[in-house]
Amino acid sequence: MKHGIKVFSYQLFITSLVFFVTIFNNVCASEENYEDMTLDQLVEVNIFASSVISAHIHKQGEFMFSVDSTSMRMEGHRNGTDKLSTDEVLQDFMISPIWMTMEMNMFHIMYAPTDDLTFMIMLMHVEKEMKHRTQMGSTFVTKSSGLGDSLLKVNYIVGRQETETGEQQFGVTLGLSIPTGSIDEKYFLPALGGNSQLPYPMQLGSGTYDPQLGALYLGFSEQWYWGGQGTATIRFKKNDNGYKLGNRLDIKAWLNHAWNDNFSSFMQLHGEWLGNIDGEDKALPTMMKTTVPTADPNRRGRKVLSLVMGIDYYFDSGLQAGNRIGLSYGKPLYQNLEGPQLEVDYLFDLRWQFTF
Amino acid sequence: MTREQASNLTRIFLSVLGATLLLLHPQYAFATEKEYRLKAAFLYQFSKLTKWPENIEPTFTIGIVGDAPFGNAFDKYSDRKVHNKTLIIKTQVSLNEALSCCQLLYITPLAKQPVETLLAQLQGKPVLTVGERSGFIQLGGMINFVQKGTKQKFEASRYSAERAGLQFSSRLLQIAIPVK
Repeated sequence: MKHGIKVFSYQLFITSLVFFVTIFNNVCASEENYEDMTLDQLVEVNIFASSVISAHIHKQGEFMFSVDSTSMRMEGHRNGTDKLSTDEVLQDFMISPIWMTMEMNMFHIMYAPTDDLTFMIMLMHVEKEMKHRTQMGSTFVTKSSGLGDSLLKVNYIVGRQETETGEQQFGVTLGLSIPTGSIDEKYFLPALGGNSQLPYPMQLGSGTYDPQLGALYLGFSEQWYWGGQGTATIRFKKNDNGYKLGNRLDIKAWLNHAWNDNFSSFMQLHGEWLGNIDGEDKALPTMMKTTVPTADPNRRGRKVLSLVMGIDYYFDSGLQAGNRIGLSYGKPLYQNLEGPQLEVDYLFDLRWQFTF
Repeated sequence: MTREQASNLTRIFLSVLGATLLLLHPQYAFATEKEYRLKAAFLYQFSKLTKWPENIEPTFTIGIVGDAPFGNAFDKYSDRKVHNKTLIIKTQVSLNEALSCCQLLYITPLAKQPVETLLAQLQGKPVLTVGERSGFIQLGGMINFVQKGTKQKFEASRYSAERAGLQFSSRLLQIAIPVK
């Protein structure tokens, strides 16, 4: 079974599972007994759907553990916004990538020492695979896998505003990307007849400690949750291989709707700006830069706007209380690549969170 | 996987997502139902924590003026008593009925009758008026539902209540948002 079909079947299975568990859970769900509450207790009831509350408001002393499994596929090429075929790329380069897949499994641990402050640690395992074609028509595949860069992050809510329809929060985020991902990934290259350093997109990390700065806006109403986040990743120093990845800016805007206390769906617009690489990987064979576009540090910049849609199911009662599972799918609406570069086709994401 | 296969998978996924959301759509009512179950509990507590002038009526009636999706939210109060009287809930109360039917009137945001008129006509009558709109207290209403952040709160006017011969308990006044 091919990669995409395997991923899809797996995710379809999870979607079906979520759906049937939901039905079962809704049938078994017990309502809160408001009629037995005192007035003091009634004014403390959260009227927002808990499917929204649990995902985005972390109360003092709360821990959250989550696993995110993301699959991304890139196929086809672009230079700027113009699409290119592999044959067109091969007019300028001896080797061209055909497609690339990336599987990322991210593990997050979050802790909120106060209602306003949340600490996060993220570890990531990455698997990459890229298929190439040569001018002679032969094909070959390169692979890399292992730990990616890790992230330490702090979210701090600097302001809250209560309105008649809900609440708004304003925050800042500070992060530090730790270079736990390898920048020395090698694989057998037929043209060289042996193992060789892989080009930039097949490396697992940045090789540098990179600060992240961001701003956050959150808005809640009874059944809606919306927000925006801007995060800049700034690369100051070159890594041990003599280059630094491009600076990066991510801007996200989202709208969630809680259909009930368990189910919510969301739409997100994600804008991504990535600069070109500064310097060159000294471990790459010198001829590779002109042989394959993925080895050229000046062909890594991109501007991409994607639409992501997803559903989440939150277990608010029973043995699974505190668990949340979700599924999302993203597709680029606009891609402007300093290419030729592979363009993104789609992105699947499966999530599991547990809050306690 | 070819681009065409990826495109087919995309279409299938979007179909599944769309179908799931469509199937879930009837559950939209759930959140509203939760909100009105909560409001029903508030109205019951307001009844218990307010003192009315003595009367010989055997029933205590809560009237709802205007549309509100209470559904079966009051079913759980059917065997309960307020001030030793049998509790009755009347929905879709008309303007004429409102003047004499009830001890507590909840005027919903969807009430067709002008609130100013209703409150003016109820002035001096021992009817606890509960509303849910900005300026309700200033118009002479006694309790106004207010959403504060993630919580449902309420304002209470001791002055308006006492003018109608009603007395809020000290507990109700402590929990209420003070009105200037």
